[in-house]
Amino acid sequence: MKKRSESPPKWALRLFKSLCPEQLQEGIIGDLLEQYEFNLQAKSRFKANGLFIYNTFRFLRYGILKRKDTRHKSNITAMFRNYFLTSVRALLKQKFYFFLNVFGLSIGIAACLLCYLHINYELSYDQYNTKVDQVHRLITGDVKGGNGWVKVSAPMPPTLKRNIPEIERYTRLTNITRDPQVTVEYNNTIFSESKFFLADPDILEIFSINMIRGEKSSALAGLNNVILSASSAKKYFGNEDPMGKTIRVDDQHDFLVSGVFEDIPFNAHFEFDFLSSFLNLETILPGTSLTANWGQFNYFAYLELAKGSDPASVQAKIQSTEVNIGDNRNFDLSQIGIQPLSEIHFVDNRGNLKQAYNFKYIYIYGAIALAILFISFINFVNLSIAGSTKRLKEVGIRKVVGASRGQLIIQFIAESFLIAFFASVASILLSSYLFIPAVNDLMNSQITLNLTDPFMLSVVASLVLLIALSSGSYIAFFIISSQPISALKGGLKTGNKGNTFKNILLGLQFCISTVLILSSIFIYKQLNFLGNKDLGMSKDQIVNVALSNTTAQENGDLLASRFEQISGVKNVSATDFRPGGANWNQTVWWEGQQEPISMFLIGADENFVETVDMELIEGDLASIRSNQNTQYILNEAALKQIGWESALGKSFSAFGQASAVPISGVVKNYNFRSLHHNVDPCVLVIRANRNHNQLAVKLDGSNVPALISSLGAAYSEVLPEMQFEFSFMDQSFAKLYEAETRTSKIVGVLTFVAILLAVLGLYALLTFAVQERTRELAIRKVLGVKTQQVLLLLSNTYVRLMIIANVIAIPVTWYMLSEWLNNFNYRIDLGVFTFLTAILMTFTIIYLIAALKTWQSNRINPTEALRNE
Amino acid sequence: MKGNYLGEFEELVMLTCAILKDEAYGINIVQEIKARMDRSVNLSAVHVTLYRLEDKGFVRSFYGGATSQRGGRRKRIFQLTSLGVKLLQQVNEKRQNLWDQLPELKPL
Repeated sequence: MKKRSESPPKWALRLFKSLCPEQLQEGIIGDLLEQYEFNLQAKSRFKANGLFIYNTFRFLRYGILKRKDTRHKSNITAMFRNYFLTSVRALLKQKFYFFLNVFGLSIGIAACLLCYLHINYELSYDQYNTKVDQVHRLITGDVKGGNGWVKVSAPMPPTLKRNIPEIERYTRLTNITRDPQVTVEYNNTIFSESKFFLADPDILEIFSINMIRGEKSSALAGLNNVILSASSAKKYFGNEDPMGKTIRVDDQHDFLVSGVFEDIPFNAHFEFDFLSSFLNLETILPGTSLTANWGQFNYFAYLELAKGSDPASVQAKIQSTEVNIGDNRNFDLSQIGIQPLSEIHFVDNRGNLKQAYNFKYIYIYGAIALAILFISFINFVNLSIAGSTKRLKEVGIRKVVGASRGQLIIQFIAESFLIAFFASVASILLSSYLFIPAVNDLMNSQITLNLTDPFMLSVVASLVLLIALSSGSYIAFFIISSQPISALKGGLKTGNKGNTFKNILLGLQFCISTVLILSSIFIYKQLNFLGNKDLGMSKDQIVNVALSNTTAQENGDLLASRFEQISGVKNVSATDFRPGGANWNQTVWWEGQQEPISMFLIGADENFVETVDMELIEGDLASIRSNQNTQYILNEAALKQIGWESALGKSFSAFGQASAVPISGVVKNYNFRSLHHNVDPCVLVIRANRNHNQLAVKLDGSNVPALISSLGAAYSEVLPEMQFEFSFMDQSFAKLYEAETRTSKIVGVLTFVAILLAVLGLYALLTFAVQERTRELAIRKVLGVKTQQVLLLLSNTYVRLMIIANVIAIPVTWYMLSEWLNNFNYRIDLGVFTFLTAILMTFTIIYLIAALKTWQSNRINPTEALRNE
Repeated sequence: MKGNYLGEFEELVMLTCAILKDEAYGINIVQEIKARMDRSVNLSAVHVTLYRLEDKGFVRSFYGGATSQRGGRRKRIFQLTSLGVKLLQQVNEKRQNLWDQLPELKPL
C-alpha cells in the first residue's frame, strides 16, 4: 500500500509555477502529478522523484514559455516608439550639442580603439614564428636590464650545441659585409640592399620561414647559394623564374638563387631579404674565422631549445660550459645569457636591429586614451544635464500620466545608448579612414582595423554599454528626482545637487587638461634639450658619405683628397662611426691587465679627432696625424675603467697582445650613443689607410646645398658607377630619439584633441548657463552692470574650479614627469617658470571662452530678453 | 486548406486525441501512444504540440471535472475541431492516393 501523503519535490513545482504561463499551469501540473502517481506504483520513490523533476524541466521550453501573458505588449511598443520619437526630437532640436556629443564620444572611443590596436600590434612582434617559445637569442652582459650586447662570437653556438643536449638547432647571422649596405646586381638591375645576411641553414627552421621555391633542407646547403624574399625576387626578376639565376654582390661575389621565401612580416625584430650560407664568412670577410677568434662578438646567434626545456637551466649550463681556446686558457662564458624571442622587441639592448619598444609607452598612451575618453564622457554627461532642464516638463507630464521610475530610467539610458551607438559607428569610420593611416605613419607600424576581431568588437561594445549605462542612469537619476509639480510650473532651477556633481566632473576635466598641457610642454623641452646638448663632439655641419663597397673604400683616399679641394670643406676623415652605433665590441688588452674586458671600438683615420672636434686631454694632434701606424685613442671612461691616471705611451691593443702599441692619446668623454646612456669605455682605432665605410666631411656652414652637389660631382668623377649616398650626422643623432619624438608628437596631438574637447564642452556649458540666466543678465544690464562684471559673473565658478584642478594636477604631473625624465641620463629641470606659463594658459582659455559668451550676451538688447514672457 | 501542413507527430497526436474522445488529455495521450504505437514520447512534447495545434485551430480544449488523483486539478481535455477532422481526412486521402499508385510495392 502506498501512502497518500507522498508528494513530489515541492521546489521543482514552485520553480515551474513561477515560470510557466498561468493559463496553462492547471492542465500541465495535473498531468505531471498524475504521471508521478503512476510512476510511484511502478518504481521506487527515488526514481519517481527523479522522473518528476526531469519531466517538469522538460516543460521549460520555448513552446511553453513563450505563451506567457503578453496582453500589454502593444502598449509597450507604443511607449517605446514615443520614447524614441521624443529622444530624436530632443536631439535634433539641439543639433550643436548632439554633434558635440557624438563627435566627442567618437574621438574618445576612437582613442581607446587605437590604443588597443597599437598595443595589440606591438605585442604581436615575432609571434608569427611558430616556435616563438623555443627560440632564444644569445646575448652577452646584462641580459634583462637592457644593456646587453646582442652579438656573440662565431665559434660559440656550435660549441654550445655540442655540449648542451637541450639545444636542438642554432643559427648565426651576420651582415654580409661590415657595412650593412651592399649592392646587388642582376642583368643591369642594381639596388642597394641592407638586409643581406649570412646564416646557418637551420635559420629556415628556427624562424619558421615558408619557402615558396626550393627546399628548406637544401636551399642554403651550397656555399654559392642565396635565397631571397618574395618581394626581392619580384624586384629583381619580375615575372622571370629566379631559380638558378646568378646575382652579383658588391661587384665581387656571385651567388646562385636556390630558393624564394615568403617575406618576413613587418612586425618581426629581424627582417632579411637575402640569405646565404654562414660558411662563406671567412672568404667574404677577411680577418674573420669560424672556429677561432672567441673574443670577436660580432654575430647574432639564435638557439632553438627542445620543447619543454627550461631556459634558466640552459642558461646555467651555458655559463658553466668550459671552453679551451688553446694554451690551456679557458674562455669565460659566465657573461653569456639567453633571451627569449618574445622579449627581444621590448628590451633595449645594444646592437638591436630595430628600436626596442619601451613598455612604459603603452601606459602613457593608454592613460592618455582613457583621459580623452573620460573628457568626452564628462562633456556628454554635463551637456546632457545642462540640456535636461528643457526636458523637465516632458518628464513631469510622463510622471503625471503614470510613468514608473524604471520606465523613465530606461528612456534616458536608451537615449544615451543611441548617442553612444552613433559615436561608436563614427569612431570606427574615423579610425579606419583617418586615424589609423596617421598612426601608422607616425609609429612606423602596419596596423589594420579588422572588423571581425571579436575582442575589438567587444571592447567597442562594452565601451558603448558602459557609457550608455553610467551616463544614462546618472542623467535619469538627476532628472527624475525633480518634483513633477515644480517642473510643470516652469521652475527651471535645477537645484544644487546636480551642480555639485557637475562641478566635480568639470574639475576633473580641467585637471586632466592641465596635466596634458604641462606634460606636452615638458616632453617637448626635453627633446629640444637632447637635440642641443653638448656631446663632447661636434655633429653639426658634418656630412657622412657612404663608401658602400670595396671598390669605393679602396678609392676612399682619392675621394677624400678630391673633397678637400672643394672650398667650403674644412676637413675630411674616413671612419666607421655611426651615431648610436659603435657596433664593434671586442675584448681589449693592456699592460698589466688582470682580466679581459671588452670595449667599444670605433675605426677612423688620423683626421677624425679634428673633424668631429673631440677634445684631446693627452697626446697632441700633430703627432697623431703624422703617425702612419695603428694607434689607439681612449676616452676618459675607458681610462677610468682601467684605473689609470694617465694613459699616454702605455701599451694597449684591441687585437691581441702581439699587436700592442703605445697609446697615443686620451679624449674627453663624448656621447657616441644616445643620451639615454652614460658614456661607455670606448677606443678610437686610428688607421691611416682609409678602409672605412664612410667619409665624414666637415663643412664650414656656408651654402650647404651647393656644397653637397659639388661633393656629389666629385664623387661621381671618382666612382662613376656608384650611387652618391650621404646623410647628415645631426639627423642620424636625432634618429636615436625616434621613440621620444614620436611620443612627443602623439602626446601633442592628443593634448590638442583633449583641450579642444574641453573647450567645446566649456563653451556649451556656458551657453546653457547664459540661456538660463538671460533675464537675470538683462536686468543687470538695465541696472548698469559693466561688461567686466558680467565676465567675472560668468567665469567665476570655472576659475574657482580651475584653481582646485591645478592644485591637484601640478603634483601629479610633477611626479609623472620626473619618472619619465629618469629614463634619460641627461635631462632638464622641471622649471617653475614653465609651470606658471602653462597654468596661465589654462586660465586664459577659460577667460577667453567666458569673454566670447559675455560679448554675445551683451549684444542682445535687454528689452528683447525682458519682453519675452 | 492549401498550405496547412501537418507534421508526423502532430498527426499522431490528433489521431490519438480522436480515439480517446472525452478522455483526451496530456498524460492519457502519452500512455495511449505508448500502448498503441509502442513509442515513448515526453509529456512536454505532447503538450507543446497540442497548444500549437490549438493555435492553428485544429483542436480546441476545455476543462474536464476535477479528480482527487491530480491534486484536485482539472484535466484539460482536447477535442478535434471540424477543421482538424477535415485536415486529417485530407491527409489520409492524399496518402492513399500515393499508395494507390504503388500496388506492387514490396520490401526489397
